[in-house]
Amino acid sequence: MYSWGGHHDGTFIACLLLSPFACMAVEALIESHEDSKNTAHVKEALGEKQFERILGNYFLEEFTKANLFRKVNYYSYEDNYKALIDEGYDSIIKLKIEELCLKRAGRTDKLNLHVSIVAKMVDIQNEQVIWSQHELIISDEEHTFDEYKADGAKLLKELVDKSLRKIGFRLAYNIMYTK
Amino acid sequence: MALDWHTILCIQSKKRAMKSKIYFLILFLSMTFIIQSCSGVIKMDKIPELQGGSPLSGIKTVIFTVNHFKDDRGSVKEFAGDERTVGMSGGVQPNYRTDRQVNDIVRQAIINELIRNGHRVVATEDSSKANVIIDGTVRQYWAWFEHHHYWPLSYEHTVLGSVKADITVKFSDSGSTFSKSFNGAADLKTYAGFTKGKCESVLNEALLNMVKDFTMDLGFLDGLNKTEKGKLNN
Repeated sequence: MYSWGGHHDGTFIACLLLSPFACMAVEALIESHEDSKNTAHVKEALGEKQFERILGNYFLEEFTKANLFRKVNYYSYEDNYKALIDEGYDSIIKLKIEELCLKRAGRTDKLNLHVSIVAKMVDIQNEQVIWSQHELIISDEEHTFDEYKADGAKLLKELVDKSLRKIGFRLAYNIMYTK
Repeated sequence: MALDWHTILCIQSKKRAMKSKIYFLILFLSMTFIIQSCSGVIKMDKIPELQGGSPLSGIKTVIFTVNHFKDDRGSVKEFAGDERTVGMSGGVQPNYRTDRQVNDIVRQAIINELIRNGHRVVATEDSSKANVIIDGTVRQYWAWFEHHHYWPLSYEHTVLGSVKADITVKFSDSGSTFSKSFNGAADLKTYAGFTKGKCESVLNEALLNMVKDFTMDLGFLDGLNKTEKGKLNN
């Protein structure tokens, strides 16, 4: 499990917790397609990608640009709120990738990428959820499974990266502009 | 008073008739509910609006013209032959229609967001007064559902919505143009199937996500920041 922490200029200090989704994401992506003969190839090409870390980095990138955080750190911890409170944190942002898969686009043979994320900000003093957001992205691009897996699944990797960047941006902006 | 067999039989047959009527009524009401929930018109008297803050509100008042959008949603439109069709059941059968054309709904949602953040929108005829002119083509305004069967008897539906538009923004002052495709998606897990209410809900959420995608775009915001402000006031 990984977390990022940031020291805010004001009173707000947040820590970002990401769900342990790395391997699961790859499995979900592969299992979503019925063509089991080809899945091994794509799985190998994608590797054990830390999708949640990629998402977290994009998310924090936007915060950093907005100068909401004075300092951004990377932490590793085991869901221990007390340790975070001791370090001076007020809240934690949890990001969970609920779905990352290829789905058929309408009645065609083409597939598009679905990425579904749930984000929650929890006040770690009383463990109450103070903000939550569900984001779904269905990629604009549609390709056949063969096109996705070609060239070491380059197209798929790029699309996953692009989608995570977009969601990270959206989540950051949603928090930044929450009234 | 003692009842004879004839009376008893009559009472029983009346009871049976009443039971049949009740069964028929229940069946009729169920069928009516199913038919109503599987087809119908989605009323769009009020176009949904985003809540909360937006970077648009930090930009000094800009005057916009939002031209009428085109509807080019491809295969579903061809299948349904009606530009108000929004729903597909399992990707095949269109079920629902809005009472407004979808290109008009998308355009109005964008106008609402601009006005909500303190900007002005003038009519197409007055576009010479505008700092920014927006044009668009709707590529998707669809809702559909997926079945998920879980062994042995459990199941779940996911109702999905997708709204996509190609938008071109012309900044009159600089003469520069910005074009990009924006999309919004939404999903809803349910056991109730593809009802009109669920369809409407995911479409509205997808529409707002598309509007958010557009109005928070850095390229668009950058263009607005460079625009000469308050042209109409001078």
